[in-house]
Amino acid sequence: MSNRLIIDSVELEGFRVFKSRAAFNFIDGLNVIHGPIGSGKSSIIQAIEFTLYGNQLEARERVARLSDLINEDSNEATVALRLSGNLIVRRLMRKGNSTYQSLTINGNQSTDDYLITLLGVDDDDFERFILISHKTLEDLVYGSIRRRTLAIDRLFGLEFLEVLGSVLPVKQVNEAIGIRKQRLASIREAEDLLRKYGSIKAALDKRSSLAAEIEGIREQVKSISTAYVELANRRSRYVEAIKRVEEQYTRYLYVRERLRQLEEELRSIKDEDYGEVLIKGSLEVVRRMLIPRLESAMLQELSERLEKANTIDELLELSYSSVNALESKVKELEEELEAMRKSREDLSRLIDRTRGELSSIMERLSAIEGAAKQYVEYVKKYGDLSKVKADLESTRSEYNEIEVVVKVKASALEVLNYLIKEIEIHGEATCPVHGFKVTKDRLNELKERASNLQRELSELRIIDVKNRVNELERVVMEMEGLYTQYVQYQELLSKVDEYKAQLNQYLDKLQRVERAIADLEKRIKDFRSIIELTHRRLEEAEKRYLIYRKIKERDALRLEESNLLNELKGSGINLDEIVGIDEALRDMEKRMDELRRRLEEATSEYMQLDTVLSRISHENIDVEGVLSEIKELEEINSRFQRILNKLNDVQNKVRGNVVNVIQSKVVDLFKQLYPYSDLEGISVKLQHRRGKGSDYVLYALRGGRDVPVSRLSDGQRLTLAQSFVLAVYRLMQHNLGFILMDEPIPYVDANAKRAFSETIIKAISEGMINQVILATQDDALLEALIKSSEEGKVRSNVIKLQRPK
Amino acid sequence: MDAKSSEAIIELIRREFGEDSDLVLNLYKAYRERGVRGIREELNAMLSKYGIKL
Repeated sequence: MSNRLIIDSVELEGFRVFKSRAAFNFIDGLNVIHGPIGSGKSSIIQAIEFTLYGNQLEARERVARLSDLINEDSNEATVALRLSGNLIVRRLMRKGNSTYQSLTINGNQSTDDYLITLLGVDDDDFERFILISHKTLEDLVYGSIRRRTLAIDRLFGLEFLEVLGSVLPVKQVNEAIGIRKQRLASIREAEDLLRKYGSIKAALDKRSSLAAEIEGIREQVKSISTAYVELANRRSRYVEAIKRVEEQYTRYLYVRERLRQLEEELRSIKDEDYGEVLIKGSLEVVRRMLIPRLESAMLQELSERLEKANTIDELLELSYSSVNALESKVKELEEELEAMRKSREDLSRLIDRTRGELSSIMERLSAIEGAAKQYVEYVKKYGDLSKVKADLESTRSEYNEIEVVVKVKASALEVLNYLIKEIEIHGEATCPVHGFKVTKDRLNELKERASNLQRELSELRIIDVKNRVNELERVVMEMEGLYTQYVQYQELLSKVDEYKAQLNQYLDKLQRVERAIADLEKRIKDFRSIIELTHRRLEEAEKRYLIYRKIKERDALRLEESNLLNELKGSGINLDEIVGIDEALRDMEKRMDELRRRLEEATSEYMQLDTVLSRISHENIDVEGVLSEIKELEEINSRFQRILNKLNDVQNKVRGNVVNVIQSKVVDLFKQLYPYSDLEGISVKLQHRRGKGSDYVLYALRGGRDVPVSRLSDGQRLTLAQSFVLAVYRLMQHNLGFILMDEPIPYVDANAKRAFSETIIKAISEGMINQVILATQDDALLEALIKSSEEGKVRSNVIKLQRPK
Repeated sequence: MDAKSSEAIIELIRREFGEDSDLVLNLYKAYRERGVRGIREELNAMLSKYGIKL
């Protein structure tokens, strides 16, 4: 920001109210040019603009004529700006030739383009965000939504799109097309005429050529008519003679004509190629091909009739019938084949399903096979489950019995061992069970009895029996666990057999169906090839037979013609002459018909053409020119329509971008410039119009709610407008550190002036702008600005102007 | 948005208006030089031969 250009001073002479040289110095900070109306405040602002942009003031209609800027008593105006200490821009303009301007930069001649490069901003953008008028500020926050939308667009340099939309003269172009079409409406056929002939000249040529052709045809008709009458008169001389042999003569004429026709048809035919024997031979071949197929197709009756056929006609008729019958048969076989194929599909589905089920059973079998085998192993080793259970019961009983004996014997052995031990220690002992005394002398006996008891106990093998019981218990438990799976396994095994049998049945059936299908396909193929072959041969034979018959007819007619000729000559008629006359008359009639038809067509076309051309000539319309203009105007209109349609999309898109910029830049700037808590911020939305287009809608946030801008105070609105301008000022790339304001807020109250001043000073103190040059006649605004600058510790400079005496 | 507005608009017109961009650019140039009057003058030059005057 600090490197941007600011205005140190402006010197002017002969410029508007400043006839004599005047110089004004500006400071970095706030500069207020204050004075009454006519004192030259706006002249200073305009002088700055003139120095920087010269002719553009007139081009952009900021002044009516550039020469109006020259003081009325002066011949020339000079303005010089000193920018940032070392850049002096001077512009001179002379009266009488206001287009003459001299521009120097630091004493050297320069150009507007170079100056614009130095400033980094052209006159258009200068007007948007450097030279701020009250209109710019007011449009942004007062008035209708539409007006505000245009103001925001203008600030961002986008208003051209809206302007273009309103200026494109679609309606006028449509009207111009309508007027031209109306002119052509009186000669509607003109367009068809041009389409048909290409141009009016071509149509005129065509009219002339048609007139000549009509004349020529009439001449021909006339001369043929004369010749026809002459010939007819000649023919009438023979009429009496012809009447006597009328029947023969008529027949002769027919025979002659028919014979000529046949001779013509048979000219390239060799009679020997179309003999009866040859035709019959080829039909015989066909018969031999058809009969076995008819029999195979169970068409016995037809086969027998064909066998008996004798003449060519019979052979042809019955052969064609046979071919048709075979075709019907083929259709039947095809239906049968279709049914077979369906049956094959059904069988295949059944086979797939059965295989699937079988495979799933096999999987289940394999899953429980181990358990089932284990069960079988147990059965082999221990017998079936009921037997094992019975064995367990008996072994348990045996164990219980042995256990009782063992307990008794073990107790007795315990007593004996006690007595033996007592005797060995004390020499005697008392029986703990019966209480009698036992002496040492019975020691050996006791030992022997104890030894016997010990042996008896070991012989009882209670451990083995116990182990056997345990083993059987385990086996029973495991067999019971395996039994269900064993039974299931057995059931599945039987199911497998069932499914396998079923599958084999299906496979057999499928095989039979496949064979039937192959057989049917073979038969159909055979029938088809025979049908095709025989049909072709029959057609050939029929063709030959027809020619054969024509040859026969021709031979008969030749004979008849010779006989009739002799007969008629005998009657004294010059046949050659009369036939020649009749033929000539027929040719003439034919030619006359052709000529009359063409005459009718040509006359009709001529009349239509002549009517349209006469009308065009009468109304003096350049049809081609008008049509070409309609075409051009329609192209222009479709172009305008395309532009208008696109314009709407483009506007919505760029306005969306502007909303984003406002949200991110203007909102922040507003918060910075308006630090009071009664408003929390601002927001902006894009609102689509009914039909086409969109508008910006601004809100302020108060108490968490959106409040329309129209509800804000003047001061708040002005701060918002200043935020917009400053945001754009900061967003755009340029080299200027100042803004100019010429009476920016003329119609607001003291509070608004105070708010406006505070905002300007805050923008300077926050470093958003380096220099503000503001022209006003308003004392209250001056006061508010000075007060704010003092409070905000911003340097200020007041230039006081007096109205010239 | 951060460049000069005229350059941004010219680029936008070139990009969006396709076959009609030449005409729109001409009209934009006229607008930049002479305002709405400029557009009208251009359109008049184009349409006056058909008797259309804006």
